[in-house]
Order: sequence, then structure tokens, then C-alpha cells
Amino acid sequence: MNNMVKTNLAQDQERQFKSSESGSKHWLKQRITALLLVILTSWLFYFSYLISHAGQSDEIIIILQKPVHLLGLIFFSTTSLYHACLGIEVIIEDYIHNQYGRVILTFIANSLSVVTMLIFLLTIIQIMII
Amino acid sequence: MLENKARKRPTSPHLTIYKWQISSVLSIGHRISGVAVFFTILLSIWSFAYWVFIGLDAAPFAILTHPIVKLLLILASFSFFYHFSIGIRHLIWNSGYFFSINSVNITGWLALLLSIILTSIFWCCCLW
Repeated sequence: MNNMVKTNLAQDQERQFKSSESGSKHWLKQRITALLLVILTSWLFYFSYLISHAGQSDEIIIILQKPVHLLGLIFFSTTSLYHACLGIEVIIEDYIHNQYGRVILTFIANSLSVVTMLIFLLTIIQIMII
Repeated sequence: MLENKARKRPTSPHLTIYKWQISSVLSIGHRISGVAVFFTILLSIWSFAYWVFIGLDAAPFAILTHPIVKLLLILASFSFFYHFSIGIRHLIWNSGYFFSINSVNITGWLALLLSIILTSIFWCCCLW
């Protein structure tokens, strides 16, 4: 009896997590970002080719300042980091069975991505005003 | 899982007794490469910011020519293209094709081959 009560409590706590609340939305978000990333990866390939064939820093800056590549960088970084956050949340939920461990690890992964995104946007602004 | 723990029953996936199969190895590889790509992107953005803000011809980038660092870069690019290829395979499954055991095996090997080809093209065209 005691065990049953505990199990129900644990199941209620499970429901507080995002993926158990709206798992299908989480799944769909991951597939849509994946599709976008397939397209963005072909741009990234071309971009890497251009960057690696530019000799000096000034040449690289000139390529970076083109609107297409600035937009490509912004779209690729935001989409890939969002896709990564979704994926890592699933991995954490699958392998970490401790409730607090899950919350803390998911929080760390998400904040790492957000902080990195902010650093990235500052860098892009710097590139634009160089 | 929680219920099993409470009743002290053995939990289901006895991973150690399974024979290694292309499908299961690729599947766990997809997760591992995903985490690897996540850290690769974080590191790339941090070094990009460092390059722009601190030094456009900064000395720390000299380590990129070190053999071990180069090996790590090859591994990082391979995990990216691996995650890309296996991801496309997953998207094809999501649209409802190639579910038979035979095609799961074939597409698995094809995806692995594609990731190796893409990594080679990337290194031949872009770096070195």
C-alpha cells in the first residue's frame, strides 16, 4: 500500500516535466529544427569552403559582413542550439532517474546554450560595426 | 522504471547480453554524436568570439596545427556529419518509409558511408 502511494506520487512528479506534458510538441519541434538544419548545413559547407580559402583576417571579415552569411550564421547557431537543447533534454530524461539531477542538468544545458547565444549575438554585432 | 525500483524487480534493458547490431550501434552513436556536436558548437562560438574580440591573429589558434588537436577536429567534424546522415535517416523514417529489417540495415550502412564521404570531402576541400 505504502509503495503504491509512493509510486503515484512519483508519477505526479513526472508529469511536471515538459516532455511528459506535451511530448508530441517536443517531438515535432525537434523534427522541424532538424529539417531546417539539413538546409542550413549545405550553406555551412559552402561557407566553410569560402572561409578556408580566404587568406587573411581582413578577407574573412569581408565574407562575414555579407548579409547572406551573417543571416546564415545567426540562423544556424540559434536553430542548432535549440535543437541541441531539445535533444539533450531527452537524453537527460532517459538516463538520469534522479528528479533533482534531471532538473539541474537540464537547467545547466539550457543556460549554457542561452549564454553562448548571447556571446554569439554580441560577436555578430561587433563584426557588423568593425 | 520507478515502480520496478520500488518492488526491487530487475529492470528491463539488459544491454550486456545483446549481440551488437548495426541498428543499435548507430542509434546510440546518434545520441553520443549529438552531445559531441553540442559541445563542438559551443566551443566554436566561444573561439569565434575570442577571435573577434581579443585577437584577430591570436596566438592560441596556433594549437590548431597540433596533431592531437587535428585528430579531435576530425572526430568533431565526423560526429557532425554522422549526426547529419543518421538524422536524415530518422527524418525518412518519420515520413513513413524504410521500416523493414532489411532496409533498416541497408540505410544504416548507407548513412555511415555518407558520413565518411562528407567528412573526407570537408577535409579535402575546406581544411588542410
